Amino acid sequence: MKILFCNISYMIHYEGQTSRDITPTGAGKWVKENQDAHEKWNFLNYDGYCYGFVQNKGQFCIEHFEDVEYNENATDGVTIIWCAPLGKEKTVIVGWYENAKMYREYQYSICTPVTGIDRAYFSKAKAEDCYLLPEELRTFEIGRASVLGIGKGFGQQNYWYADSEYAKTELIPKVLSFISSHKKDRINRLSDFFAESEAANIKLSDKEKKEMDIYYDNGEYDKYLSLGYKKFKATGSADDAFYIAAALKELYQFSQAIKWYEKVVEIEGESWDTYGNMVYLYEQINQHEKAIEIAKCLLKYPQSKQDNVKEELYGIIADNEHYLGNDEEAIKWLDKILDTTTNKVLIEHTKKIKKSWS
Amino acid sequence: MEKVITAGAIIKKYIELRGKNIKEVAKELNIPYTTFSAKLNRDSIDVYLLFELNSLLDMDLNWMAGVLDRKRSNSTLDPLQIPRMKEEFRNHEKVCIEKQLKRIIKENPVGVADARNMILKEYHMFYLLDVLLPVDATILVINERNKEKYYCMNDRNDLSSRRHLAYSLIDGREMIDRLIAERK
Repeated sequence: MKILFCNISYMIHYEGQTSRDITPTGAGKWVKENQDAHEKWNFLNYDGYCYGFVQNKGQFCIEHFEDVEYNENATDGVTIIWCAPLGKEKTVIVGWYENAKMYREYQYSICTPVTGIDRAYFSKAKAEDCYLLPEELRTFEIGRASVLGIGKGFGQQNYWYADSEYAKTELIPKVLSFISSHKKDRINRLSDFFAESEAANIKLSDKEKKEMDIYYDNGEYDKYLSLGYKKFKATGSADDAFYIAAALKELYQFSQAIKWYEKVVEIEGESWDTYGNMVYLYEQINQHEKAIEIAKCLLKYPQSKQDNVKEELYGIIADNEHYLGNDEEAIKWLDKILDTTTNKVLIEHTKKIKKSWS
Repeated sequence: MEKVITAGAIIKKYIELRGKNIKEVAKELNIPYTTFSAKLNRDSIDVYLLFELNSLLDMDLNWMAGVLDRKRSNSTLDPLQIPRMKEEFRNHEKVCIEKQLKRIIKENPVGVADARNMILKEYHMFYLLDVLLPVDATILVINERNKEKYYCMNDRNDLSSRRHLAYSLIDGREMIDRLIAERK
């Protein structure tokens, strides 16, 4: 069995530093000084997946696992046990991933100016395979080797392969029993939270009609969404589909957001604002040909006569050509930026990128 | 400043900033007070009166135009930059806003989101950002289908794999949360 224990900072929801969570605590000097931690997103449902981070200075030696070779870059089917310090005295299991993919090196998210998070991760699992415990159930302690003995807990590193005899015969069976008994208790959001449900068929009340505008304006898109679906069911309007798409985008459900923007196009045809969102979303979900197609379409709109908009579209095409491995074509679009712009920062940056892609 | 920002509301602020009142200004313009007051409240100042008022009150018309124009539709590709208010106006407004913030934070010692929602009931988001952010910060608005969304421009110059304008957008709400957290 492939299992990895990771020691991260303590939070409640691990969906970023949101108003419903606490500042990350524990797990090191950097976290304390910066009141921040990259693992703060470890249980964010990010377009149907959770992406895990733990601090590590080098590679993750995945060849520790049986049947994984030194030259492999990733391995599947890993159970990752997330632990965090509770107060100063103990470290407890806060959650786990099942069937995770674990990489040897950190991977980096795609991030556009309007979608995505600039983040690193070393593991990835479907949201449905991720389990975050409520605080009151974070009771299973994982010790430290310095206290319990070698092979009986975390060492100097923030992760532990638990491949000692003690861990295999005593600790891991108890951990597996514990997590198995608490699968039903998870508090992280699954993908069906964001999907349209049967409740959409129920008519919006007057109270809900007032509430939904407030939720949207306050950025409470999770509360807005179910009401948004109801409203669209009643109106079928392009605007209501647009607001749903925007809410899904803000909730990091990019694939679902695209489907709703596509619905807007079906209802009313192409428009600057719809395509302006879709071009980034396609890039975000690695549909680079579509992103290029939409960007080229947007170049025909009068709004793209503005230099900064034109340059942005050239940049989007260049980036997506690069992601497709077409660096020669990508560089042609970078050259268009250099021919157009007078923005010194952009010129410097574009030249740097051109050099790295050549 | 009232939550709903109109030319009339901005003019009232300038009257206050110049140490005058509406009656005095109406007299200087040779307009009956009730007529002038109604024009301000109904936001029905015509352009000729606006120019007269500008001569009298030395207003920042460029800022006013930018602020009132922010409802123009645009998209994520072409966010609209809102011009920043002049320093004297900011300093004048900051006194009142900081006082309100202090009161709201005292009423909400733990939750930042509650404090944010309370202050946003009293002031428009971009107005708060304009008053509280440093002078060199940039405020952008994206107005899609009559829903305004405000962003602040980060000073991050490290574009790494990004290729264009040197910014990453910070949501206006998140920025207000940070400003509140700084004051706790």
